[in-house]
Amino acid sequence: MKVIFVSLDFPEQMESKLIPFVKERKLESVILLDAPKSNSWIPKVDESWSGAIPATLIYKKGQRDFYENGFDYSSLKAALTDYDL
Amino acid sequence: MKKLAVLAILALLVIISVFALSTINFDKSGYKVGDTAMDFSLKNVDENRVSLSDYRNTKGFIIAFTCNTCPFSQANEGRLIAIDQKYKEQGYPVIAINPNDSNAKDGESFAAMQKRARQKHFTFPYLYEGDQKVHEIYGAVKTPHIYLLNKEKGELIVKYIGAIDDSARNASNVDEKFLENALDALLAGNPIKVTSTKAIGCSIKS
Repeated sequence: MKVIFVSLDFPEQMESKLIPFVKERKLESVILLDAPKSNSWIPKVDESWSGAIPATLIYKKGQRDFYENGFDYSSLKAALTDYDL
Repeated sequence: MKKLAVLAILALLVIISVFALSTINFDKSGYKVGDTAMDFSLKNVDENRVSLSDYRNTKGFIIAFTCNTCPFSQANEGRLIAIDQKYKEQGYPVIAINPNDSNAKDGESFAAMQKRARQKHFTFPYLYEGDQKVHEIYGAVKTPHIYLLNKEKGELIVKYIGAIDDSARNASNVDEKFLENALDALLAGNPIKVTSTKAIGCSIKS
């Protein structure tokens, strides 16, 4: 299983907020999604997504689950039970 | 590579929301365009209660669910003030509601709202939702989240739901002013072309 963190931080606050946060949380990597016009790409991530963050997408081949929420360890584990890991 | 990939889209600016990691119940109900919206009575930052029925001579309302701390809300405050100043005179005032539970999120207390409204010179009411859960009835799930209401035969009809424009993070990169386009169409008596839009926003903490 691979976890990819995608940040929707403001690009101009990358140095002041995002990088200190990544360091503090000891995250290995975070992708800063600097994509304008979110009305056009939000539905491409998932039709049901309102755009509220945090949001989580779990996928493997044809299997795909979208959640408009974050997870803690136990709830993420529960969400993965249907997946053949 | 064949292993399961989990793509977690996180708002790292919204640090508390990310790592409190409370599972938010996403209620997909709420208003759709064409529905009749309800009135409410909520406390404004000036301590007076505000209801939509207090406004006798308006054509409708711009209901803006917004808050103190969300970066996307903050980035839209100036635009909300400009829209209020432009459209209030034409019959569509902005009414802002903070839907966050002040116990669930630091910086969202009534006192903090008063301070924010004062500092940012809000020209519109900024209402404390408290436990009345108006946002749940409307179906708002994030801040900012806009509902444009039009008075029709004594009822408040939802005409537009979504974002102020197509560039929430950067006001200088706006191409389409969704909300203003909807307002201009209403004022001109034309059909609204884009009646709902999506934008990134902070989950409402309740």
